[in-house]
Amino acid sequence: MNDTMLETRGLAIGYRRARASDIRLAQGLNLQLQRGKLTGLLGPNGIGKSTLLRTLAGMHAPLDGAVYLANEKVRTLRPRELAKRLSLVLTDAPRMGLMTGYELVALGRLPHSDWLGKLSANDLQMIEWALDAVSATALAGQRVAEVSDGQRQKLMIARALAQDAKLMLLDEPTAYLDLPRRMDIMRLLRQLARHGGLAILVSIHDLDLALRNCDQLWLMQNGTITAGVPEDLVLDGNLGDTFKTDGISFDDSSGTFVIERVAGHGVSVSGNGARALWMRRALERTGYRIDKHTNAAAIATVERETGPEWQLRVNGQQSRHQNIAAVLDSLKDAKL
Amino acid sequence: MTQLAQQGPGTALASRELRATVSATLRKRSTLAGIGIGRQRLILLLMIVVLGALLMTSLALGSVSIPLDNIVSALLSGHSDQSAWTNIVLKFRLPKTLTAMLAGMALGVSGLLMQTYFRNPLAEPFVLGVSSGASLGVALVVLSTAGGGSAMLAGLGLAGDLLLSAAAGLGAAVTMSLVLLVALRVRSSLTLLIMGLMFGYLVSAIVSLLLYFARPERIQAYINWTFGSFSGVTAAQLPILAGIVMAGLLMAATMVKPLNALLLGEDYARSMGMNLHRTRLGIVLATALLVSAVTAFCGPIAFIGIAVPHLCRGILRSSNHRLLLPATCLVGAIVAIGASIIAEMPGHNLVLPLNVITALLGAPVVMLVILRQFRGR
Repeated sequence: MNDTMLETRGLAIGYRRARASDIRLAQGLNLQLQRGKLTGLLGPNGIGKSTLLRTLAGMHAPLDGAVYLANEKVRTLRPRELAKRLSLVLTDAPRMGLMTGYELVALGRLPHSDWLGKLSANDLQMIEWALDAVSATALAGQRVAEVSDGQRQKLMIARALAQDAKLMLLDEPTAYLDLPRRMDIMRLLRQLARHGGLAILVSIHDLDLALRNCDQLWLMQNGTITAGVPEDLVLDGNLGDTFKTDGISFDDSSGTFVIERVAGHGVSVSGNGARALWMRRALERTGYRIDKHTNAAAIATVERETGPEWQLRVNGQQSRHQNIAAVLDSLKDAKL
Repeated sequence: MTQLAQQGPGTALASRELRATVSATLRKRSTLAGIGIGRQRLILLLMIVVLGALLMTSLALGSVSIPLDNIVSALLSGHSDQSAWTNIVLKFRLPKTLTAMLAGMALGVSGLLMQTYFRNPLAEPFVLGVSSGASLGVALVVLSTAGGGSAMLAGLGLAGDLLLSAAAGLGAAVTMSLVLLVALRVRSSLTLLIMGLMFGYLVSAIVSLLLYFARPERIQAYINWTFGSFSGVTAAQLPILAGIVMAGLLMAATMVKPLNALLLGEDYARSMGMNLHRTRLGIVLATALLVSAVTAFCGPIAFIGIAVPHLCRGILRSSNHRLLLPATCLVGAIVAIGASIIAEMPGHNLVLPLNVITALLGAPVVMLVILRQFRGR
């Protein structure tokens, strides 16, 4: 069985201009989306992620090459046929006035219903299934305008599910959501891909969530896209390169971005555990350099692992402090 | 969730207890939905009853009082106790009432089409500029005909009416072709909206210029046209109006699905299988047909087009076009006939301008409905 649901061959994306040369955002793209896999699209702002998604969805003409769904060009498929194969979720949820959650999800059945949009028993079953799959059955009777951003985005995904297309493209569906909601949506997408047999492409800004949930990543940079398993992309340095900015770098060992600071005065922190970790974070944040050596200008010592007190030694002078704020104040006053 | 998804879309639910909870929720919801739909059907039925009552009222009221049984027999058999009564009912009151009904339906539905297509609650049938084109046609005829024509127009004789209708129709048709040309080329509905509005300004400027140089009695004739009236359509002209309005309404009826899809915007509508190009043309053509027919025969009737869709949403508490389309038809007809009855001031000889009534009485009602709908938000 061929698992490839979408393929690009020599695809170039961008914009044609009337009296100027084309704006090429990326070219020579030979990419694939497979059934059962969640693919994350990552790249800095303005690099062309949305244009890529719109081109893949057939809403925007490619500059070169083509997008294929099972050997058929996406641009030549009739809208209704395309809608049965590919569904879409965008960042902005439109104002929906009086529409209820159920009515919103029911819109997903439009490509399958007759000219009046009358829903068959099968349509109704699909709507129930889609609502249940995103755990939004309770929202069915509520007005979409009155649910939270996260709930609304779940309903939009349920609507895309009800469309019964094996391919789903999502353009930053988690942009306006807080972290738990973002995790919730990404977990949902992973499960839909893995257990529902869908091929899902999601553009996302949250690197950590992408690393933890996606089966494959597309890194968009310098007019091209590097595809691979997330962990490979971390280890071969591709991920770090993609997001490289002055003063910020990707730390392979922690899997997060770290702010590179101009080396300040060294402070040594002795002790282990959570208290020592957060003291180091506080010192880094305020511009000190964590020094592993005990001959640093200042030494902060965790007195007891759970105790309330901090011991600070600066230039041989000892002082005791109740919390991190007091330690920082004392260091500032010491004028290292 | 995992178990459910494993079976993929459309298959039966997996575990028994899940199935039980889901079906329990569904039962609860479908009864709720059932009540909702029952309530909405009841409202539609009520609207039909009100419309029927208003139709009869409109036929029964007038400067000559005719017994109700004579009106019915005149309608059904074409005879009544006095031939004058038959004439009044069949040649004056019936065409006027049917014109009001058709115009109300056309304006209500075209307002709904425009508000949904432009996703803008302030959109109305006239935003495409079609009625501006009609008014230019009328202004050209009324304000610039040679001296001989003015007596005819001032008397508003039958030939004058027909000439006005023809001028308005021609103006509307030319504008409609222009709008369709634009609609074929532009990418977004916003561009079309701005083009329509700008065209309206352009035409108003030309009309103002004509007014500036026109003689006072001509200006009065033009202003009379802008007041709007359902009384100018004769029994012979009625089939033309009815034919065009019915064609426009039928077109609108075939677009229930794309209209519902458009509630999410053009991008989503396209992703759900809608042919954007065809839908845009359909909506513009249907609106242009409806608006140009009404404007040509009745003048620029304001307010009904913008207010009726809001009223219907507020009453039905729904944005589903399968409900809204018939509802805007019915409520549009109700409002138009109601306004025409009030404008003739039963019991007085005075006839007020139609546009005064529609806005004066309608605006407060719509304000109330909208304030209630959004609960002061």
